[in-house]
Amino acid sequence: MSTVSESVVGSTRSLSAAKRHKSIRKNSRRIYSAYQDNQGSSDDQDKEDERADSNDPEEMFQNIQYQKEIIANIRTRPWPMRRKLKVLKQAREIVLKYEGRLTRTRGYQTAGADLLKKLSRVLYNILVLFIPWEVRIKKIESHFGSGVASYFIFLRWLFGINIVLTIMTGAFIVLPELLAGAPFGTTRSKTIPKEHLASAQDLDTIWSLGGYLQYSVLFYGYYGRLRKIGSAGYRLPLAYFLVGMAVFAYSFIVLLRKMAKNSRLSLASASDENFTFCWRVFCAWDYLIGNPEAAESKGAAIVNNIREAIVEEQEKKKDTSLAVLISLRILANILVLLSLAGSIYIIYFVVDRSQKLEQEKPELTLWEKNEVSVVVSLITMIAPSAFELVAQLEMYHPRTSLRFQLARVLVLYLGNLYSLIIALLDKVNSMSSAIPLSPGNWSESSSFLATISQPEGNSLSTLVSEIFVSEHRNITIATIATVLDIRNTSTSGSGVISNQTSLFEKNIRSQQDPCWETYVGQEMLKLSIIDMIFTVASILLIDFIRGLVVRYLSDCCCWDLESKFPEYGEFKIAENVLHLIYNQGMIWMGAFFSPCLPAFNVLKLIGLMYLRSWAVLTCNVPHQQVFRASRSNNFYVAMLLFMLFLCMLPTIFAIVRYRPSQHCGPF
Amino acid sequence: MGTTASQLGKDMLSEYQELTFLTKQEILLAHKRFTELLTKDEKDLPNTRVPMERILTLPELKSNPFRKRICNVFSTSEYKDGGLTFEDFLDLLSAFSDSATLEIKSHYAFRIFDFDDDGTLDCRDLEKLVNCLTGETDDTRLTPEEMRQLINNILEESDIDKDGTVNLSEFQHVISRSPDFVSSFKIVL
Repeated sequence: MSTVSESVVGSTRSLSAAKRHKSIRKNSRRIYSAYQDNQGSSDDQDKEDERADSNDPEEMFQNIQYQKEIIANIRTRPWPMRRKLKVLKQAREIVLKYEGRLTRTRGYQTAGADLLKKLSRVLYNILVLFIPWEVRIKKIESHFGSGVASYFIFLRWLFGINIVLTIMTGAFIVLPELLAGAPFGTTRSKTIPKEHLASAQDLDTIWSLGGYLQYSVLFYGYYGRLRKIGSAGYRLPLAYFLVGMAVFAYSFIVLLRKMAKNSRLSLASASDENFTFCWRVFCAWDYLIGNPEAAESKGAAIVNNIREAIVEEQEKKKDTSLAVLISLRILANILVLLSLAGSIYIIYFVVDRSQKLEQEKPELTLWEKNEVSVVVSLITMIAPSAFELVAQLEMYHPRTSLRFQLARVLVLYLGNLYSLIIALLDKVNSMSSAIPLSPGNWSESSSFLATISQPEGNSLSTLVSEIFVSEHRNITIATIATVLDIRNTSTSGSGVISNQTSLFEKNIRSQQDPCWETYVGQEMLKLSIIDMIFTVASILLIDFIRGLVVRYLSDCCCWDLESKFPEYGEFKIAENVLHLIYNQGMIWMGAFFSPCLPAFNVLKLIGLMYLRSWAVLTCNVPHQQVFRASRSNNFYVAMLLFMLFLCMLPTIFAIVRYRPSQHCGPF
Repeated sequence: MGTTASQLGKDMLSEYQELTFLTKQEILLAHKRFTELLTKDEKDLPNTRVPMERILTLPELKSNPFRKRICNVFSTSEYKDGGLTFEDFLDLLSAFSDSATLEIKSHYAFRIFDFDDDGTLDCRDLEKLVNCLTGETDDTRLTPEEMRQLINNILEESDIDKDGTVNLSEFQHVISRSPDFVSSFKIVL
C-alpha cells in the first residue's frame, strides 16, 4: 500500500505549502479532499468554503472540471472498490453543489459533454457484441497463450478491413452495374464471342475463369463505358476510378491508425535497455493460460529459458573458431540469395512461357493454363522450410535466426509478387501495343480493297506494298494470295465484296479482343484461389496427417515419435502472419482490375479462420521456446503497411503507363 | 449499498462501469460466474465473501502459479484469508482486463510478487517468485546455485539505488520497457 501513503504524504505536503496563500489554500483543500482518508477535516472546511465561496465563476468552473477529471480517471487508481465508490460519491457531490451556480453556457457545455460520454459508452457496449469468434479465440488463448492467439486476432482484424473494402466496391461499383448497367449480352464487351460460346460451360473454362465468369461483374472488362447509367444518371466510370483509389486510401488510414494506437500502448523504448533476467522472471507468465497441460509446458519453457539465460551469462564467448562460423554464414546467405533469384527467374520464365503457349496452341491443357499460379503457390509453400533448413548452418541464437527467417520470407514473397506483376505487365504491354487497328480500320481496308478492284491499271507490286503497310501483322499470307487471285480473275464487284467479308471474318476470329485488364484480374484471382487450395492442402497434409502419424504409429515405431522427429507440429506464428500479409498484398494488387476480389477474400479469410483454429487445437502443441518474434505489436502492422505501399505501385503504374483497352471496361 | 447476489441493480451496474475497465457484458458475465460459486443460502445475503478455495476452482485461476497471491492482494477481508466479495472480484477482473493501463497492471503485479507485503521485493520474495514459476517437482526447480545467480542478476539489472531490494518505481521502470507484459498480464472470463 505504498502508493496510498505516498499520495497522503503528497497531499499533506502540498497543504502545508499552500498555507501561505489563502485562496490557494481554499482550492487545494477542495481539490485534495478526494485523496484524504479521513473525511473529518473536509467537513470542517465546508463551512469555511461556504463563507469564502468566491464569486469567481471561472474558478468554480476550473474546480468542477478538476473534479470531473477525478471522476473520469478514477478507474486508473489502484484502490479497492469501496474506496473508489466513496471518492466518486464525494466528487459528484462537489460537482452537483457547484454546478447549479454555473452560467448558462457553461452548463450546456457540461451537459453536452456528459451526454456524449454516456452515448459513447452505450455505443461501445453494443459494438462489442458484434465482434465475431470471441469464444474461439479465448479457447485458443487458454491453451496456447497470447502468442498464438495474436495470429487469430490479426486475422480477425484483416477480416474487418476486407469487409469494409467489399462494402465499398460492392455498393458503389458492382451493384450499380448489375442494376442499371446494360445487361449481359447486349454490348460487345459483355458477350461471349461466338467461338468461345460452345466451350463456355465447360468445367475447364470455368476453372480458368473464362466463359461466363470472364464476362461478368467479376472483372474489369464487364463494366460499361457510358458516362451515366440508369435513371438517376450514376457516373459509373468516375465511381470506378474513385473507389479504386479509395480502397488504397482507406487501407492506409486504417493501418496508420492502428500503428498509432499500438505505439501509444507500448511505450517504445528509445534506448536498447535489456532487462533480460527481469523480464524472464517478471513478465514470463502468460495469465491467459487456463489449461493445466498448457500451464505445465509453459512452466517447463520458463525454466528452460531461465537456465539458458544463466548459462549464456556465465559462459564466455563460444570457442568454435570464428573463421568457420563466418564462412558458414556467408555460405548460407549465398544459398538464400541464389534461391531468391532462382524463384524470381522461374516465375518470369513461366509467365513468358504461358504467353508463348497461348499464341501457338489453340487448346491448352489444364496444367498449362494454371501453370503460373501453381508455380507461385508451390514456391511460397516450399521456400520458407528450405530457408529454415539453411538457417541451421548459421548457428545463430534462435531469436536472431527467427528474425532472419522473417526477413528472407518477406523478401521472397515480395519478389514473387513483383516478378509476377512485371511479367504480366510485360504481356499487357505487348497486347496493348499490338492493336494499331480497330474494326473501324477494318472497314476502311475492306472499302479500300473494294475500290482497288475497280481501277485497271494499278500494278500488283504497289497494291501488295500498300496492303502490307496498312494492315495488321495478323494478316496471313493466304489473305494476300486470295486478294491477288481476285485481282487476277477480275470478277464482278459483288463477288469481291463477298470474298472480302469472308476474309474480314476469318481475320477477326484469329485475333481475340484484347482486354488486358480483365486478363490481369483473372491472373490475380486465379493466384488467390490456388493459394487457398494449397494452404488448405498443406494444413491437412502436413499438420493433420503428421499428428495422426505421430499419435497412432508411435507404438509400433522403435523410437519415440512424440519427442524426436517428427514430433507434433508447432504453430509457426511468424510465418503464418507473413502469409496473411502476402495474401492481403495480392488482394490490393488485384482490387482495381477485379472488383469482387475483396469479397472473395472475405470468404477465404472466414474459411481460413475456421480451418486454422480447428487445426491448431487438434494437431499442434504449445511452443517450446518462450521468446517472442516481435519487439512490439507494431512489427506486423508495419510490414503490412510496407506491403500496401509496394502493392499500390504496380496498379498506379499500369493505370498511368498503359492505354486502357478500347473495347472493354469503363475507360 | 451492496449487491444482492441474485441480481445486479441497474444503478450499481453503471457505477461499476464507471469505476472499472470492464464493459457491461463483462460485468454481467462476472456476476453470473460469481453467483455460480455461491451456495444456496449465500445467494440471498448481500455482500457475501467467497472463501479462497472456492475462488480457486475457477478455470482461469486454477492453473495460475500466483493464484493464492492474486486472491490475497485483491481481498479486502479483515482476516487476510483471501476471500473475495463481488466487488473485489470486479477489481481483479478490471486490473487484468484488456483496457487496463500499464500503471495499474504494474502496480498490481508488484503487489502480487511482494509475498511478505512489505512494499519491496527482497531476496526472499524473489526466491518464492521463481519457485512458483518453476513448479514443485525436483527436476524443474532451480538449484540453489542457479537461484543465487539468478537473483543477483535480477538485482543487478533493476536495483537502481542499490539497496538490495526492488521497490515499486524500479519495478515499474523495468516493466514499462517490456513489450510483452501488457499482453500477457490478462485474464478474461
